[in-house]
Parts: sequence; structure tokens; C-alpha cells
Amino acid sequence: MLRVATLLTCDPHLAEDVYQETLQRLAARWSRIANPLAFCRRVMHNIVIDASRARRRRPAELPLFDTHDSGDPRAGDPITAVELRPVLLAALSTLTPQQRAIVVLRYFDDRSEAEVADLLGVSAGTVKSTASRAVAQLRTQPGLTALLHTSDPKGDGLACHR
Amino acid sequence: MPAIDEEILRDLMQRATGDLHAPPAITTRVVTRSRRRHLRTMGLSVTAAGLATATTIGLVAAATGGAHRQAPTKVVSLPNITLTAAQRALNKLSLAAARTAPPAGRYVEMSELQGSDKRTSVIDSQTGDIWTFQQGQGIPSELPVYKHWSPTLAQFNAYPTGVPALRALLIKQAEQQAAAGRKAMLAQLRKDQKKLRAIRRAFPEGPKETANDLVFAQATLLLWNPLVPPSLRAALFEVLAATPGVVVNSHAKDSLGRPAVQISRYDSASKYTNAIYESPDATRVLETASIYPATKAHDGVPAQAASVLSDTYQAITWVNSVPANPYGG
Repeated sequence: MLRVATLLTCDPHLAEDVYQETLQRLAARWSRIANPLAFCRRVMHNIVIDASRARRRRPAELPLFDTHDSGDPRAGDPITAVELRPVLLAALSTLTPQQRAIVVLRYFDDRSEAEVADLLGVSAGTVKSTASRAVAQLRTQPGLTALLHTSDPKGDGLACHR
Repeated sequence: MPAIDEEILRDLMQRATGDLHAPPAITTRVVTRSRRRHLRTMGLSVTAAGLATATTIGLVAAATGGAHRQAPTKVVSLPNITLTAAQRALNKLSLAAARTAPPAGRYVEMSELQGSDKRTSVIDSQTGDIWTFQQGQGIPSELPVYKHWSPTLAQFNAYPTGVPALRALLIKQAEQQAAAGRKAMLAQLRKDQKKLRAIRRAFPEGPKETANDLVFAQATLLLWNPLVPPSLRAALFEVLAATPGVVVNSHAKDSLGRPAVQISRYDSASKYTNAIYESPDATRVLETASIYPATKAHDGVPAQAASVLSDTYQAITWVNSVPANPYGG
């Protein structure tokens, strides 16, 4: 869930807040929730949308320094993750919150179009077209394409997973 | 150079977040906040809260999906619930209200003071209609009848008296009333776009009222309504006892010097304190007050001194026939 929150918010610190708020709401309504994971996805999406609207009304915050975090030592390949994350989040941040939600749910969370549509309260057609537009938008991001260009030719580069 | 397609995107997202794991501090904070919430509302059983929180932590560990799952957290036993002084005072009022005999008669007559003006309102408990007689300088001696101004006594008797259900109803009612008010105001203002823009500039959208703000406002409004039966008044005091931020002064006096229990709460959205003065025997509200703090001048709005707007209710009587105008109008 924290990974989903990070991709949805494009901000690791905000993602922790969103994640905590989601758990808080889950705990508060625990006895009335039939499907906790679906509840969490929906709530997380709503919180991110609300937060992005609230942020638009506030003056923009400037980070004091570049926050390249050091990753979690328990992870399998922290170096790859730490290198990839800023580029990916920068590219994702060019999408609208709705586009980001669809991309993350569809491709990261592996939900079907119908499931995403149901979760976000839109039609399956909207999910399909939005996802397609979002991927097209990501293709234009120089950071992402440069990353693919320089990926490892020995065999664990991104292109080899195709 | 490969083009970015869905598979690559999936791979990128998996790799870029592969090292993210929720810090244990987050789940600790959730557990702590849940515990506080349960203590405040007193609505849920201690065991259910502990189980829900523990299950939440289990779910989080499962949802993060990594091979490095955290060890299961122990279910913490919670301390016994301790009521605050305000909650004890409100529970006392609730018990007193529940013991009150329901009044007899069809019409209720309320006489009140608004500054130097006197006013008597008569409410029909069967229809909810209200008519008002007044005495004072520059005000009409009688106001037009307001049809279905209040729910009837029978409707009030059908209200739920359980705390969660009544609280939910109060929130719904407050939201409906606010929406209706906004709609009516906008409908009026749409005729004058210039005025609408000026009002929007002068009053930018501020913070929204919380559920607890709505509950307090609606509950005190109902406590004031003389048609509300004793059983519902008792339930309303219980709802207030479960609402955070309510302050009770059991040894207060209203502006006429009568002993009263002051129940107040600061409304963070409207930035003023709402208060009611309940009679110590929990039979009626003696006074309602809105207490405004002093404000500094800002953005062209002049500074304002602290002020109190209050309505004082002198007497409430129940009668079987329509009372005459007490001011001889």
C-alpha cells in the first residue's frame, strides 16, 4: 500500500501521510467494511485527490534539498530502486491525479479495466482511453526515455523484460 | 531504444518502489490514535478496538507483500474508560431529563428577551406551526405564521435515541439545512452577478465544519426546541457527552442570574463559541449565546471587539387552547 501511495502522490513523505490516514480510516470503520483492500484503494485515491486539490489552494512548497532517500536495506535491489524512483516519480507527476491513479491501479496493482472503473466510479472506456493517453504522455518524458536508453545491456536492463 | 509500453511501465514501477516498506512508527501512530478515538467516543467495546487494530496491522504486513514481514504485534489491552468532568455532568443531565414527565397540552408558549425586545412564540405541537408576538421599538407586533416550522411532537417521538443513530441523523439534518440555505442564497444572488462576485471576494471559502461542529450545533438547536420530548433530550445529552471539545460549567448563571449549566463548544470553522444554558433540572434551555472573540483588522475588514449575542427564555408553558397576544396587540 505504501508503494501504491508513493506512486499516486509522487512524494515519499506525503505518501506516508496518505498511508497513515488510510489505515486510520480503515481502523475507524473496521467493523463495517466487507472488503478492506478495496476500501483502502478507494480511500487512498480519495485522499490523494483531496490532497492535490488542497495543495492547489496553498502556496507551493519548495524542497530544501533533493530528497534522494537511501532505501530500505531489507529490499532486494535498493540501488536500482533509488536510482529509478526520482525519474519515475518526476515523470508520473506530469500526469493528472486521475491519470496517475488509473496507471498505478492498472499497471502496478494489476487491476482489470472493469475493476479500476468500478473503484474510481468511471466507465471502463474512460479507464482505457485515460490509460492510453497517460502512457503516451509518459513516452514524451525525456528522463524516462533516457533511462531506458542507458539501461544495462547485459541482461537485467528494462528492455530485456519485454 | 525501446518505446515505453505497459510492460516496461509495470516493470519500472515495481523496481522503483521495491525497497519501500512502511515504517513501524506509522502503525504505532494508527494504533495510538485509534485508542484515543475509542476512549473519546466510548461507543465501541475495548475488545473490538484491540482486535480491529491488530487485524489492521496484520493486513498492512500482508499488503506490503515483501518477504520481510514484521512480527505480529501484540494486542494491547486498553485501560478502563475514564469519563471527563464534562461527560459526567452531561450524563447527569441526561439522567435528569429522562426522569422528567412529558408535558401535557397542545400549544407551547415561550416568552423570551432579545436585548430590550420582548417576544412570545406559540408553537402547535401537532402541526409544528409557529406564530410570534413581539413588543419593542421599531419591530412589528406580530410576525406571520411560519407553517411547519418545527417537526411535530409525534415526529420527535420517532427519532432514534441510540447515540450512533442519533448522531448520524443530526449530521444529516445539519448538512441538509446548510445545503438548502446555500441553494436559496445562491438562487437569490444569481440574479445579481455583481453582488455574488463581491460576496465571494469578501467571504472566500473558509474551512469546512467538521462532523463534531455539526453535531453540537444541531443537538443544541434541538435541546432549545420545547417540543422535544424528555427521552430525546436525554439522548441528546448523551450525544454531547460523546462529542469532543464540549465544555461544561455546572455552576454558571444566565444573564438573568438564574443558576444554569453552561454547555459550550468552540466552532473552529466559524471561529466563535456556541453556548447554551440548561436549567439544572434538565427541563429546558434558559439561554442561548454566541460568543465572538475580538478580531484584528485584516484585508480591509475592520477590527471587532469581543461580543456576545444571546437570547434569554423567561418562561415556557403548555396550554390546551390558543393563547392570546400577551402584549395586548
